[in-house]
Amino acid sequence: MTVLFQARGLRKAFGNGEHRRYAVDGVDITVAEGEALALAGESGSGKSTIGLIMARLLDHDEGEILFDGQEIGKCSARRAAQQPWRAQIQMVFQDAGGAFDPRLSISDSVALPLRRLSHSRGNALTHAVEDALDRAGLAGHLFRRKPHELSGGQLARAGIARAIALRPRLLILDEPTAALDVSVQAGILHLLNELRRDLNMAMVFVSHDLNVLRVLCSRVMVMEHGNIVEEGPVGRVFASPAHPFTTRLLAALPKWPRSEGLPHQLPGSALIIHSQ
Amino acid sequence: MPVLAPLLTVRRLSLAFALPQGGRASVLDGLSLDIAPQEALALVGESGSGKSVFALALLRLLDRHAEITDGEIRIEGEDLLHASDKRMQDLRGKTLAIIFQNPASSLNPIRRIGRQIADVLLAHGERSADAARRRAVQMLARVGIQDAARRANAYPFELSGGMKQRVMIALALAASPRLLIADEATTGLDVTTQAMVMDLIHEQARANNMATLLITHDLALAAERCDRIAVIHAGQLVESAPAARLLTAARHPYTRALLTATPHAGSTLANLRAIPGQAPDTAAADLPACRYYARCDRRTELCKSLPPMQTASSNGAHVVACHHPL
Repeated sequence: MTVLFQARGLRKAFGNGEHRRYAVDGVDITVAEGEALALAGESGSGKSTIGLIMARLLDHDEGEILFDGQEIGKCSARRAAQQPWRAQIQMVFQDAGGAFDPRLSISDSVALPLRRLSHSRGNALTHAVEDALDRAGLAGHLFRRKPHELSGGQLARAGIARAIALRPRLLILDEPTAALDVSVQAGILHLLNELRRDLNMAMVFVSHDLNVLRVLCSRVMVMEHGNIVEEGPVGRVFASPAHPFTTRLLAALPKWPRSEGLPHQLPGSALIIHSQ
Repeated sequence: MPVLAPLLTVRRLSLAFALPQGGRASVLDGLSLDIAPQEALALVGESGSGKSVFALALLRLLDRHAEITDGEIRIEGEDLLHASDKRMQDLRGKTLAIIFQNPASSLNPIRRIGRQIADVLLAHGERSADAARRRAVQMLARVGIQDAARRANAYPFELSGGMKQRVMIALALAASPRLLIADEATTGLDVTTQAMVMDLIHEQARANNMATLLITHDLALAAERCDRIAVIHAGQLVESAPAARLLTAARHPYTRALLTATPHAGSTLANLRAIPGQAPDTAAADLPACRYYARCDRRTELCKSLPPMQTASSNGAHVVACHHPL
């Protein structure tokens, strides 16, 4: 395993005086090259704050951050935009619609970071934009559309296209499918998995949806009140959680009925439900 | 179990929206379903399927661009579509009540929560303002608000999302309705909060002999919490069955596809599949008879021209509307 990203002792507080609270309170994270890591937790657990800090879009108070062996936590998030490693760490947000400039076409939006960070111009730029949109599975006739002319699923694909256009080595995704219907979500999950494999990109999925994390990730970190309370392979943590909070989280998930033993079962209709 | 006369009966309900640019969108198409007293029924569908419009139609809370073009709705035998506005005001709260997805925007932001519950009680026959206030505190305690006497003086912004939804439930239950409609009532809440809110709805339904209609996009939640599930696609009811049966022996191709797209404890990425295409534009002039037609892998020409009949299993519990069911 080659370590791509490492953070140690991360802390971040919000608020002033007596209202000061640590949203992230001493967190260590290691991400291996090409790995799919899940960051699970409920609202207010600090998982999105960690995502923003990892993407260097938000300043942390304490701790060190290493990317590819290089310290990247010293410069401010503001100056991070000018750093050579900026292109290599990208982020995808939940609200893809809100993350696009409503005045620009989708392809112009995807071109912006390419122009700024990889300095491509002309045909090379057009090619890179179209390649990213293609890879994200967006149909060609949608490239010139404005964000409001796309559906939720199409916007999610456009958001992913913009993030992968720079060929990042680490992609942070904050609830990338939370606003989508399951019929659309399934396609986005497949897309992300293919992109991770084809581009050898590490991905950190920040989500409250344990069932989505389960199918997408190999390792999971569970957060509560700014702390990582449990960490391990997804299969093991979900099958036999060790921390009471993880147990509670899993117990709260709606149960999916097992197909065995139900009357009048039609042959061939239930095999789609259970994988084993 | 004794066979009870249905509490709610909906027959061939069709509803259209007049569009600002002209033309009409057929939002509900011939929808029929029953809810028995004390039954928990889930209406499951994706965004735009018409499930929330259906809930609003039951309460006659639709805006003026919506027109019910056919069908009937009866609750306890009473014809809702021909009830006077005055009568509807009585029925809302007392017979049917609803909780919405976003409690923050359903509560009055500048009125203390105890007062809001007292308002409902006063609207439904309570005469004494003092008694209404005392009962409001009891209602808050009943839905699990700690220190209810003090919390009754809180404004909505002082409460967490889960607590606000508890207040909404207290409001909905204030006049002891026979049917509680929960429209995506736990969407956006954390799973642990969702479980608590759903437990509360279940407890209250049982304690008050109340039926529930859970409107949701979440099949797993529907299966865990309801006796029966009805699936809606583009305004058409495609299948309904006892909950566990629907999940394990779905007969409509859309239900099956929805199940295959839903991640759950037994899922792997390999067996998770998106549904190709999208629901048709219900304003289109040439809508196929079965609106799943364009997305369906079992379609024939018949599906385009002839609306599928609802066929029931021998005991009548499993109903499917498809020419080529699984």
